[in-house]
Amino acid sequence: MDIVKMTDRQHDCIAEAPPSCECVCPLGINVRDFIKKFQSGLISAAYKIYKKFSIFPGIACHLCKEPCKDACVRASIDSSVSLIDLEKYCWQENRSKTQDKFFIPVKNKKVLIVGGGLTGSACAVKLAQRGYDVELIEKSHRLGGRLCFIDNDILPEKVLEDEMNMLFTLKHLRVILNTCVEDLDDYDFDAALIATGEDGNVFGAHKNREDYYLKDGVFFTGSLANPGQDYMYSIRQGSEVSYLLEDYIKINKIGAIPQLHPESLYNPDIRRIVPVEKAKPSDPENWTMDEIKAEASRCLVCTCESCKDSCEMLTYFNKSGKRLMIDVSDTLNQVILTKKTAVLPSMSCTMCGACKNVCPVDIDLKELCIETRRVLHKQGSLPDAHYDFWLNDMEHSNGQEAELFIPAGNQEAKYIYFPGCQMGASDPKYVEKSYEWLYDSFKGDTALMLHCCGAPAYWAAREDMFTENISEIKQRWIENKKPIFILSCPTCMEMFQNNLPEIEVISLWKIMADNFITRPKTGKTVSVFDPCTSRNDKKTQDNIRTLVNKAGYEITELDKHGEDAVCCGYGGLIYSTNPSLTEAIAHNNKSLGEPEYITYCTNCRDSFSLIKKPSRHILDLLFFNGNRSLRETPGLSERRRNRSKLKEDLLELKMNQNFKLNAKPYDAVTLFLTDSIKENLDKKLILEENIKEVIYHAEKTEEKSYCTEGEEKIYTAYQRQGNVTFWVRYKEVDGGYKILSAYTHRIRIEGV
Amino acid sequence: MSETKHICCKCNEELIPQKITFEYMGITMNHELPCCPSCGVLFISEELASGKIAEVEMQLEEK
Repeated sequence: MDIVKMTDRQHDCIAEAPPSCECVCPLGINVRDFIKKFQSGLISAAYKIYKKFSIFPGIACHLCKEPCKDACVRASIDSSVSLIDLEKYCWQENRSKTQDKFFIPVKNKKVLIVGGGLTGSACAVKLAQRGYDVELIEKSHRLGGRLCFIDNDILPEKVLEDEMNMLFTLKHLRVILNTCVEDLDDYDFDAALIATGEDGNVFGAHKNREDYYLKDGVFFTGSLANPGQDYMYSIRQGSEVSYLLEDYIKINKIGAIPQLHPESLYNPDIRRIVPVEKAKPSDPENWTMDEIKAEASRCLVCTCESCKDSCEMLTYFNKSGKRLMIDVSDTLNQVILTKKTAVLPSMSCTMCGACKNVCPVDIDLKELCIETRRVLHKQGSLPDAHYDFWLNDMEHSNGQEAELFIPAGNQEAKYIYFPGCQMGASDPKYVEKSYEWLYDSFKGDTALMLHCCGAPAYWAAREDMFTENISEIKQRWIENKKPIFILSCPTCMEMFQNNLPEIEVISLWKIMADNFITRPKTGKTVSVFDPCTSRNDKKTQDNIRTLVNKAGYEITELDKHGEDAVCCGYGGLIYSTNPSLTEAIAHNNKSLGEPEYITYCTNCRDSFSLIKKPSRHILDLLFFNGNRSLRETPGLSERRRNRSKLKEDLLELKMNQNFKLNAKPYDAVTLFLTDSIKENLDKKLILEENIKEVIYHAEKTEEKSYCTEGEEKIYTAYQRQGNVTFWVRYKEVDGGYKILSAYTHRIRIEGV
Repeated sequence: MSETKHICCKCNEELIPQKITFEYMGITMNHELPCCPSCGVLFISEELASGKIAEVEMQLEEK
């Protein structure tokens, strides 16, 4: 789908669509506006809204059958919000107050309304309020039609009388009682409405017609068109038909009464809604202000924010999904010249896909964000420097220092084990032990491929690099006569399934769940942290739980697991763009549950380890003894060394070869770094290699400056590497260089 | 700007404030920084890089 189609989906978003109560309201009352006024204590403002839709508020609050009760979201949680009591309260409080009057220009157009029932009267009020010269003719001695026969207990006579008497006070409305219209030709009008009721004169109209139009500007509606209809629908029809008459007068258009709102698609997560007991008035007929406000405050003012509720990024930027779509459209079309409001949010998307899972209309903001990155990259307006580190890391995984292919023990490989680039970086033993297990289980039929699946290039919107990476994997697959790939990393699984559908894949966890021997129970309980990329892979989630149980552990599920799985903060390469969001995500995840987490994504495990949340990779349970729960995450430079170490070990073990890293000119530079400096470098995504290169260059060319601190010289040197300039402050010490600090900037120095 | 004296190792001259041109996201701008008058070696402090420069970078990325 192209970006225009993606942003156009803002029109499908139901965020501003009417809530379920409004969808079933025969009067179509704007419930959100009404309730917001109530909750703010603005009762007369709430009454104005109610009156605008009901026209006869006293009648409406006595005769409404409350279909909103069943539609209310609270109905299935505690009890529906009693809108009828709110309506009655604001009517009681304001019924005798003089309403504001506004100057309305006179239209000088005549409207004839035959029949003073609910529909005719409602239409008359609406048109007179808009400045039309309205003549309402009623054959009986009073207005109200069917209402005049309602029991006084249901609709008090006084209420009906007061509301109908209001018609006599309207400036542009002339009510004529006790008059029977025999022939419309006897009257002069620009448009007319026949609302003579079920048994009234039809003037040639066919009952149950749908278009409400007779001829020569004459419309008909009310019970005449729909016998026996609900009183509230009669009012709404009167209101709606007033617009039909107006359109006819203004532009000679013959329209139709719009349908009520379609069924609401809003489907909130009711687990997040706190039950609140219904307000109990001391006198049900006379609520106090506090009582009624308490009831109003129970209303959730239902607005679909499912995507925002499920997304840390949208919450961070306080944007709705719809707003994001509008921002993307504005940014790419340069509608707002001063600010590209979608750049930072789209680069802060973790690509977890939770938004689409919860969206009632399947809007995929993850795809929108990745496509936005791609379009911005092509336009040259994506700040690519943010992705330098990750793309270099991918190159490292696929380069001489880490990339490896070990053929199967037998001539032909039935399987290729593809553990991904992060497992070996986190701990080379993870790969070695799982590969050894597979090798033994399949009696040597398994080859091993150490390579990146291309996710960093995909997330960084580098389609060229991603395509090249995919081709390399495919080439290896073809060379080995198309074996099955065994995948362990959920991100790799997603990349393979979406981009290499021709390759048959199987999850390592499926093989292990089927073949692992059950161990004695440990009596310990853990929680499985499902990575976001596993959200729609229930089989893998089940296999992991089987493995955890087989390893002797009980499981307490986290609130967010399975299809509600959340991102650990690594996805989408958001750290370089938005470190504070990454940190917030990790900390929120930390508090999902008390027990130790078991993950099956090394990035998830390492993210938790960084914030000291006890967590283990599933392989820790299966292959390692001792407490690895708080195993420290290797630093960024250490991760690269781990990859090389893995290659070295495997080459020696499986192929009896010595591994020699290609020499780099700066290899001879020896650094002395304290732990706090190392930690600081990791936070800034600076590798020891970056620093060595800067110092090597500075020492070789003398392009550096110094200042003195006491007797010591402190050197400062810098070098542009890719899209980033690295700065290093250091001292010369015996045998090398002591690093004092290092920092970067993306801005390019052009010169003097 | 740092008050400390910085000396260019190559030219052995003190870095003096000069107008330096920068470019980012297609936008060019100038700022006065300590710079070797002979070879043009610069000094940017960590405070400036992680403060003002980072701020400008973020603004330009959304321009």
